[in-house]
Amino acid sequence: MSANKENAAEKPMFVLMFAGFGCFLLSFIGMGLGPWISLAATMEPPEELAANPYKDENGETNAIGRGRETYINEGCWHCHSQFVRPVANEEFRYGPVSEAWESMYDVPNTFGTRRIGPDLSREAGRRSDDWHLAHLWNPRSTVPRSIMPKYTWLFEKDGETWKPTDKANDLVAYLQYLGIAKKEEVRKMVWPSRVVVAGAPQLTDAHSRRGEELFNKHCTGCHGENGDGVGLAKDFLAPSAADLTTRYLPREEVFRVLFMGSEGSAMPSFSELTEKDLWALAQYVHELGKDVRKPALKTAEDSAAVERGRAVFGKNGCKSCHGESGLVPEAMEGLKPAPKHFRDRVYTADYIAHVLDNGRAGTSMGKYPQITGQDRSDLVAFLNSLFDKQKYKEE
Amino acid sequence: MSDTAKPPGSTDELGLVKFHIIAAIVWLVAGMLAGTFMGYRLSGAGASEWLGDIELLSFGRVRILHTHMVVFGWLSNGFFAFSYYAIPRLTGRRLLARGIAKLNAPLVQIAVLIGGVGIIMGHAEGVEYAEAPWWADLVFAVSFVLMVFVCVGTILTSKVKSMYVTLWYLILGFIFTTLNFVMANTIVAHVAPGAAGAALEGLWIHNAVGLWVTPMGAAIVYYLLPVELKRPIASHKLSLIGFWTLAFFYPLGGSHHFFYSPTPWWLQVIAVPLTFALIFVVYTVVYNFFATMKGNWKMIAKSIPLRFLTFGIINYIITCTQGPFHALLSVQQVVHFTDWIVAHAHLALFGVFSWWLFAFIYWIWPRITGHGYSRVFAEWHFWITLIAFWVLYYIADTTAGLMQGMFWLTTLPLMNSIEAAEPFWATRAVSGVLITVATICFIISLMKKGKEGMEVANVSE
Repeated sequence: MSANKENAAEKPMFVLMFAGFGCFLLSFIGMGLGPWISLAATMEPPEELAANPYKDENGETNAIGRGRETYINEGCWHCHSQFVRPVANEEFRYGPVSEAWESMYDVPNTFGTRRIGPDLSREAGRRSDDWHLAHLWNPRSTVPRSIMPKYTWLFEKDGETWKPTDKANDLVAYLQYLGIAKKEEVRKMVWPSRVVVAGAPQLTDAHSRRGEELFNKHCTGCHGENGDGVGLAKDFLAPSAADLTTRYLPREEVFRVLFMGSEGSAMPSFSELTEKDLWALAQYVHELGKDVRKPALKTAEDSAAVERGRAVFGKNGCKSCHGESGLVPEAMEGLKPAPKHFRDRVYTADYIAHVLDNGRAGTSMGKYPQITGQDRSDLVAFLNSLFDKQKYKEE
Repeated sequence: MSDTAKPPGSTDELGLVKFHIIAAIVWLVAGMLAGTFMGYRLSGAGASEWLGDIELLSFGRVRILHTHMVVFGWLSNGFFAFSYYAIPRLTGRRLLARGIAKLNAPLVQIAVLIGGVGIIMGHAEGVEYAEAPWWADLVFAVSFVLMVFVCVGTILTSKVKSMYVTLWYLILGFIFTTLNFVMANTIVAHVAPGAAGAALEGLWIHNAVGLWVTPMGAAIVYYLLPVELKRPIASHKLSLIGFWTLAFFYPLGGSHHFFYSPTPWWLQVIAVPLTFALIFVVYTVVYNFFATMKGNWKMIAKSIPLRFLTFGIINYIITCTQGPFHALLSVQQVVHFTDWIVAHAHLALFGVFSWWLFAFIYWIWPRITGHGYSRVFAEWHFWITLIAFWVLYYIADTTAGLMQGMFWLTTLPLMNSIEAAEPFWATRAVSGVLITVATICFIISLMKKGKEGMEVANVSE
């Protein structure tokens, strides 16, 4: 190699200009400005979503925008990505593949590079607000095996219970905004509207044991360790989690609820579990309220009481939501959460009394303290008489 | 090599080197404690509750603090120390503007410190490796530019006829990183939206490793290896090919951090061959190392610096061979978003570049303090680090990553992948504790005023 030639290229200024400045500029233009221009030329948001979602009409940062700031400040994006890839089953797991315009107001972007927890770009409508608040306060309260950190400082203690601060509510607003454009598609995936359960397969003690394991893994945060509805999340949930010891649920009914979830409440769909696991869990939950069946159905044996109860049911307008024969009318299926139908479950008298006295916060079920005494026990007899004994035979 | 040509009156320079090394070690310990804390917190549902109500110790903030401290505190201070030592020796002149360099030394620490405080107080920004709030970025940018002024200025104003390859890498690293850092904290953090921002962020995070840490590390290897072995580097030509291909190809692969994202598809497609080309780049360094070491392998038993350099190059081979394969789309589908990548990143930033810095610090210690270090504690440092990192961190986390990727290909709940990873995360937490213990051995070794290193130092000075 000629010494002269080498020297020309080995001058410090040459290295500085070509390697330092030159190679930076090349990559900045080619790999930075290039895609920026090519994206700007192809960006076509739908008209109704074309405005900046993080600002109100005066240009001030709104709740969604403030929530996004908290999301960034707390480093949420280091464990939660925000784009759905067109590969590796992601469309099936999270929802529609991400499009460029969806993040056109995100400065800086929050795509993320790691997924310790789930992707959040399709979060809108996936879960209820109360689920999110309980989960932010302590993730173990809705996902017992979660390893996510708590964010208790986004909440304040009000007497004995915890209340979200504005920061927590803003963060939830942001989470409920993520993927708003595909909300309807995601809804259809995460809240299956229909499932036909033909009948429970033969279930064994092994099912119960596996069911208990699954219950501890997925359910105890809301429903409590004993299934009595008193879990870590209790301060936050409206409607509160079901007390599974106050009702007899046939396995098929448990399976249905697990599969469909209960839209409008914090109860998500567990349709991702395998069918075998769902039946195991159904068996375990079924057993929690097994003893309710006998005494409840006994009340329905008094046909005079049942007839009186039918009158109470009619007089108080119950049938408009719950349906005349215990099947919720189609028109009422739009209520979220949906009114209870009484063909597939029976409750203890105490529980029915409790609901009449208190209503069900977070649902359309109001208080009926005026139904008392004889009317109340007649109503219990009537509701229990609606149960489909033919379909759900005692084993 | 002009290492033996001691520039006149170099006390200022040696003082600066010592200051930056001590600062680097302080940040290293802090960074490791943060990492170990996170490692434990992540190892299970119960562990995640530990100190969970303390806002200032929130996992998300400590996660950012960890990378902030190791990149800007530990690695960067180490590179500054190396630059202040190597540049006068390779240019045959004293540092330019030594007064500025002296003032700048504490300024760098202030910049890293206030950035860390900002992050912990909840003011982090959303650009990876550049999360420090803008006011801390500003201080860091000023101190970095002063650094560049002193270092590159010294090289430019020297009358050196033929620049040794170390100087090439230093110029590249300093100039490129100044531009890259400013771009990240202005355009990426405050201007570029969504997918366009992601393309630029890819450029930044990719080149923070590739055009800051990598050239600085290569500069150290190309300097220490011939000095320690007392023989020239095997191929000057190959080192130049490695240099220019690094400068040209490395920056162009940045978009591979966002494969299958809404960034333009053409950008992702061209990143595949441009990233794969890097495999040739890295093997120039690897070959040069091996060819220079040839016949001297027994020295790794004797010389602690040489041993850290050599095991660092083994990690370099692994991590730099992984990298190009990660850029294959089929591999991406499985490993992206998983711990496989976390293991890969730690192999590069800890297993390669931190180990090369350990080599440099052991090597320089007698030269700046006048006393050696303790062989026994240096051995403990090496062996605990090696085993704890390779077995309990790298292999465990790589396995966890593969399992996560495989689980995600199924339609089972995400929680299954988390539970599957937990045993591996537990060993990772243990590795954090052990590596911290090893680092304490490192510090004890340096403080013990042992004899190790003195003999070599006397010969080469």
